[in-house]
Amino acid sequence: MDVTLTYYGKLVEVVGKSQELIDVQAITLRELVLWLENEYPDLKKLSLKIAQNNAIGELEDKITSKNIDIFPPFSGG
Amino acid sequence: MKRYSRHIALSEVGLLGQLKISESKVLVIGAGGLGAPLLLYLTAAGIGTIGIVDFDTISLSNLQRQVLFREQDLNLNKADIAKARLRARNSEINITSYPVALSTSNALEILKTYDIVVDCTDNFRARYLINDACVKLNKPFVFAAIYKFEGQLSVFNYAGGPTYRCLFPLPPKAGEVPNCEEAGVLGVLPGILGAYQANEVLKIILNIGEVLSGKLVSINLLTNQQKSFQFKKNKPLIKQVIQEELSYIELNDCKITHEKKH
Repeated sequence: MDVTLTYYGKLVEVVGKSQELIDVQAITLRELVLWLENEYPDLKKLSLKIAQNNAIGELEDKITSKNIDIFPPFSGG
Repeated sequence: MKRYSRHIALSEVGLLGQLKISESKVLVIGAGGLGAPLLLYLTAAGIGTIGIVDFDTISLSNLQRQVLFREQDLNLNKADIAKARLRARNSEINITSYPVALSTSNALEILKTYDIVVDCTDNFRARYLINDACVKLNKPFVFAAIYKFEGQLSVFNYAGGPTYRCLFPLPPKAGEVPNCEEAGVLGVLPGILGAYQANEVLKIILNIGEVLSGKLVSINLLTNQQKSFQFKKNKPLIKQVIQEELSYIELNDCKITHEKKH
């Protein structure tokens, strides 16, 4: 299925882009994360949160949106 | 009260609202990029009691974004100088400076007399400490964090809402997230996020609008995009924080700033 992923913060540098349209065989967010970690191995080292439909999801959640946001914690101040 | 006539003219504020502002006690932890605009606006608004915690001294590269400080303030303590600069703007309010690092031995003592805490720090160690202390003391805290051109904003532990650990239960590993010195930051970014924090403080005090509890707002200054993500409370984790001793997280992101020179 086609999903648009939007990246934030340092993830943009790790992935090399702020947004991308991907075609992925993933049913749950966990499967999406596995796909991402395979595509971008450096993501494995990072804490991140995944949101769809403007809500942060759990890894067991099914993918229900064509737009998914992926972001790390920021600490600067 | 003539000073605050523009607040009082707002039907959502009025004289009663301004009195609430004058009776409130707000503790600001971090008098740097986020702290500067926040403190300026809280002072202008007439917050009755303001506490400022910061162990750090002012360095030249701070002046690019820490707009509370002047050239003649270099090498002086940020909390003490912030207090002096703010007093000159509003001599009617009480301002206390704590020129120390927040630690497990002083956090509960310092926080306990304040109503609202604002996290304007720049490292995960402090952020998790603030979260845990606020959860233990049942204080709401207004959070913001920045990275290059982006910011995150939320209000934690407000009226039974979720906490920082409900969002990010564990800190990242050392070196995982760069700080402003390493990554760089657009000076105006903390200016905007700090003002957003002041807005949340006022909404809490006045009980108007929608306080950003249970939502993380993500802001991008390059695209002017703003998105809001809802998240849930993690009750078992909150209970655990309340029951356990206040402790430092083992792994921290940037080098502890009081151990290095800017």
